[in-house]
Amino acid sequence: MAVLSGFHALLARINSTILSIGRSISWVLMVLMVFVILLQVFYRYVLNDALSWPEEAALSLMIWMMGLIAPSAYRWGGFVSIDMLSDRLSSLPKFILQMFLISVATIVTAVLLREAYVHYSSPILFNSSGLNRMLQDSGINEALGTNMEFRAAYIYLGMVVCFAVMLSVNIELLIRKIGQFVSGPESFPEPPAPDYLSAGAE
Amino acid sequence: MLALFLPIFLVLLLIGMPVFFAMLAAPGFILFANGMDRDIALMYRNIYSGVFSFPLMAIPFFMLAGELMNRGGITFRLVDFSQALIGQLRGGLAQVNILSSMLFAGLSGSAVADTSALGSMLIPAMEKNGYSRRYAAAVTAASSVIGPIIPPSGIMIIYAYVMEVSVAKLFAAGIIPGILVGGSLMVLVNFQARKEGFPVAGRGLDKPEALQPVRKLENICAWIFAVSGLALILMAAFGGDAETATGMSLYFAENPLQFFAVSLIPSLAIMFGIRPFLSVPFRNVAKRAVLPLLTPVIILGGILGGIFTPTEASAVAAFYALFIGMFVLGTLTLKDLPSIFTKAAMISAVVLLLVGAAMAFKTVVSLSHAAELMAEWILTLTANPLILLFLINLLLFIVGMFLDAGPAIIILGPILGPIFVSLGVDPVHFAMIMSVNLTVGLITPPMGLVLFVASSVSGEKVEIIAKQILPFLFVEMAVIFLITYVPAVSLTIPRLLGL
Repeated sequence: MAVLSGFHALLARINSTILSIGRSISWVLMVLMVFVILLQVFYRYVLNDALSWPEEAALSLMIWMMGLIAPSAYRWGGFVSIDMLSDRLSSLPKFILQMFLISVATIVTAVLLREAYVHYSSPILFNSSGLNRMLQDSGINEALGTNMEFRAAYIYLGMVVCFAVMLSVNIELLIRKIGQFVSGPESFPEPPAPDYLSAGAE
Repeated sequence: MLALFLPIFLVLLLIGMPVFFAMLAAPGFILFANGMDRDIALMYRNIYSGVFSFPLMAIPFFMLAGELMNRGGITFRLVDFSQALIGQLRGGLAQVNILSSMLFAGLSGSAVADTSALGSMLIPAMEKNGYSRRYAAAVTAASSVIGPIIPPSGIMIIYAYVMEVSVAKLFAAGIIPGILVGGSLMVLVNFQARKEGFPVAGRGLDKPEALQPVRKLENICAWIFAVSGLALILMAAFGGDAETATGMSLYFAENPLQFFAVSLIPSLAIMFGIRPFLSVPFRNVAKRAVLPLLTPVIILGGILGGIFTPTEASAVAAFYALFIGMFVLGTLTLKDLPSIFTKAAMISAVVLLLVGAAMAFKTVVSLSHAAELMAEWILTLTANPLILLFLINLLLFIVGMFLDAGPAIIILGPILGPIFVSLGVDPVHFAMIMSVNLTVGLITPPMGLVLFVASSVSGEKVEIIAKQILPFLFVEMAVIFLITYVPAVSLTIPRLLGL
């Protein structure tokens, strides 16, 4: 059990670090989303020049924003569920039920990760027309003397990251539930939630 | 065989599987068992394309605007203003919640966006005012279904596209049903307030905040916006149509800026005219509420004026809330922003994934023909249109319990629509029956998306909100039957407008 406890502590620490980085990037992406959409409105109405790329850029940012922060929501119980049954069960049946639920969630996440990876590495990948236009229009390629292209796969990668981290969180949850059932909650403590998560709707 | 995923989904949901995983596990398992691996890949692609949607981006922005308003203290200003207006009534804030939903319905067209925007603002405000969180969440969810009924409405655009009906007709037809739903909920709240003794907080005009004068910059902004807003209302009320107007009306119709400048004169006169009749504390509270109340005006004006798409309007609203909080009210600092943005991003991510999973779920509903099988079964029971309408309401209600309104319309519309039109039911009337019924399905367990969002926003459990929402649900069902059996409810405005 000591080995399991050590592995759990290590995995929890790795997950905490990854999730924390994900949350930090995620809120910056949210700021950028607002900025990009406002830029679109500004160009269209003030400069009378509708840009071709903001919509796609904002959507790409949204996919990454979601992918980076959804595992945090999952780790701290942000995924909605009906907990009536679990609340009414005694220790053993509750443990079995939780094992079943987390196992199913782990399998689903693993399948999603596989599909997301297949989608990402698909041979029929298109360049993103809107964002490539931005690279040309902005003169970035010209200034750098490069020929960079923005591929749609860069957007799909956000989903791969999302499900990979979520899978890691699922494994951590699975180990923690087993450990807590066998050795008690002290040996397998819950990771502390960020302050703003415990604040509910306040 | 494929339709077996529905009972499996139900069981998974009831034993506590998170909705996101249940929506994917149940159909995924059935597809796997049938060797349909390629459809599992299709399910994933539908999650992705379901999330990669520009209109859906309004959700994070509305969440953000709500969060910024909350943390910037704007919610409390609205509460103070509402209290000053109807605080002497029992259940005043619950009524404000419903009325806000009706106003918001004119801008978002999405029940989910309404729940997130209003919920994150009004649920804490109602709690602060003495309501239980579960009741506040239930009122917010129940009133949010007005969102897709009063135009503009996402589901009506889908219906119009699928069924080849005029969008304008559907929008016009949705006005009375939407007001009916809102009005009925307000009557219920009034009844509950008297029975349960909901808090009477008074008008709150003796509080120190009400007696404190408004900051100079805020005062100036409030005057500018209030007078401009009134001028716009006057323009809308007395402006002529460029095609039919003559003389002065034609000049103003062709020169809106001049019309606006002229409209400012009576607006100022009205403002100065009513000023002596309002007490100083009330004026203070009202001035503090002008800037927050302008948010829906920006959104609604922007969308209905054809300036913004709903997504753009929601981003503008978020920026406006940020600007007001940081630079006008001074209630937000740079230090507050990371946690505000992170929280909005986190709640949005859960909702976005849920919508993506709903799109994947829809794929398997289509593949399994589950909805069509149910429809066929009900239609074998009777040929009487009145009984059939009752049964169809029942079917739609059951389908609405499991499916989002949009996908349900896409699946059932082409099957049921022609049957009822051939039985003599007006296509617009049937569209209203279907739209309102399936929209109400958004607050029914086990698959009520609005219920889940209300739970996510409020932090209250789904089952508790579902129980609390029952009286509201019964009232909405009564309105559905009124819409079903009194076609004039839906058809009067389109007829009056000559559509």
